[in-house]
Amino acid sequence: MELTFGNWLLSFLPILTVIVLMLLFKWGALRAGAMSWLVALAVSLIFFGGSWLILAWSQVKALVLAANLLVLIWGALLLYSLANEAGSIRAISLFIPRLSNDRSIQLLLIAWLLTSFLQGMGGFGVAVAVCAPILVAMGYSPILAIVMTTIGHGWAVSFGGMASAFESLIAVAHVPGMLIAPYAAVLFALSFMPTGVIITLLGTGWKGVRHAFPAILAVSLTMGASLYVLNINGFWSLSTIGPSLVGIATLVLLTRLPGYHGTKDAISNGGQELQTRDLLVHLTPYILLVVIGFAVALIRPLNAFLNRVSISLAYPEIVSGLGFVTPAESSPILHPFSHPGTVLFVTVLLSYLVLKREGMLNHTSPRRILSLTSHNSVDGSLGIVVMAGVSTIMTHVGMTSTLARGIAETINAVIYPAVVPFVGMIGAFLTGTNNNSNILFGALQAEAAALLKLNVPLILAAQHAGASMGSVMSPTKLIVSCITVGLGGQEGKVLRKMIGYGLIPISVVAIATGIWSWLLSGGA
Amino acid sequence: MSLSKETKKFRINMLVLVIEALLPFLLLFALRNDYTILGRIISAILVLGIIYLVVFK
Repeated sequence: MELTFGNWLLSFLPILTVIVLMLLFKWGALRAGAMSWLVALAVSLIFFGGSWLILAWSQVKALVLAANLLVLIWGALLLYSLANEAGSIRAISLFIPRLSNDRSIQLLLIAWLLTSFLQGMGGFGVAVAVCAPILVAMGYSPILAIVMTTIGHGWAVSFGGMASAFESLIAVAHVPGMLIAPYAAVLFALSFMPTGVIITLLGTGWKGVRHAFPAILAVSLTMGASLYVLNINGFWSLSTIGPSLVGIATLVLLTRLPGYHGTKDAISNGGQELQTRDLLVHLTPYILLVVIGFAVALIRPLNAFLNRVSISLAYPEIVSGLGFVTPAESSPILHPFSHPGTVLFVTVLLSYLVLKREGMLNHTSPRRILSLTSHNSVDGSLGIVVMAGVSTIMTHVGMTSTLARGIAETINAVIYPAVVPFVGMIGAFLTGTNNNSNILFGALQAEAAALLKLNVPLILAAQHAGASMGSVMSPTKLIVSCITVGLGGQEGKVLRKMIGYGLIPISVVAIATGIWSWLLSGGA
Repeated sequence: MSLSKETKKFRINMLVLVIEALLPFLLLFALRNDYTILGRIISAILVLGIIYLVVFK
């Protein structure tokens, strides 16, 4: 496939369609994604040698990809509906001020650290689905709640879900993880400060930022240090959960300082008081999620036992009319019994039994919980299927490859490192996941870095960082987030509010990568 | 018994989801077995489903 500016522009058209329709015309993600699907199909059939057989295979692959995510999303929505029905969301929002009456500390705890921890535990959608409604219950607007929680856990996608995205990067780029991990730790650590500042700025203004800055600095340092230690020792499957817990511990310790304890009149929860036992019962779904998630992930004999059953589909080689070859491949291996979606469903089942026994649910509750979940999940599911379809159409006719080659071949060695995180971001924005962006662009980034005589592990770490932070802003994830706070169909509005702030941590990583690469090449 | 607008919308969306999930497999089956006309019909329905999402969502 010849690389020309015209071909590059045509390859970019489906992505441009989504961005323009969502940002300028405020379309919802499903509608914009559907239009992008039609554009991708038309461009592939007319200009890239696409065929109906390629469409069929690409859509089958998209469905398999989407099914993996949908199980998680349905589980997360079910957990949210159960907690909502039992009044747990409201109860937790009443509990948070007890840790600290300080608004900035509460915000950092929920929108930054709790989201990061949950991302490590539950993966796709769970973090925002759980935390955004809590912020809404605390009095923040739904749009602001989504923006803050989304930006807050952008870094955490990278090593969440047992670091599957990082493992994919290692697999496609053929570079040892031990070489990439230290660079990745430093780049992510550099994004901590801006992330904390953005959340505080959005929630409490500049006055809040000045007040919370020492806390943000302390949390960033402890989280950054723990992330680095875990990564250089090869424990990257714990590199989201570990630093998040260290961050939470640091912040809770800081609440003992008079400056962060706040004043009594900062509590504005209608004077409702909760007994400690009630609170523990309300926290049951989340405690069980953590316990079951940890058990499945970290108890090796249990994990090995559950992983005995696996599913993987074999796909044939596919050649487009213009000769672009998609090699024969297998779908990612799915372990149904240790899948995070299964963990969520088991958590919901056990939590239901506990909450019902405690009288927080009645005999009509299951009907309402299932109704709320099914009504909320249909549009989200359609959106994910459509966006996955766009991504696979583009991949199978060489549009994605053309896009990446165009960037790699036209940008010089000094600028290229700073562009890498944005390429990772675009891949994740389009496909919805850090993992898919790494699969799409990992090998290409490694190849381009080697050709330009750049430090390959640093470039791959920058790709991973950009993809992680970009994935949280993708339409597929926004659909799920918006549903949980009643903003279904208004993803365009949310993205418009978020995009400027969301680009700041990625820009910090991009600048750091550029400078670091320049220093490593001896300033030449 | 008439259904509420919300319920009708939900059922239509669910139908579109099921169609969009099943048709690629049917299309693959038709094309691999040289059922050309069936393949064209399925392709048309698949595309129409997406057009529905653009127009009515």
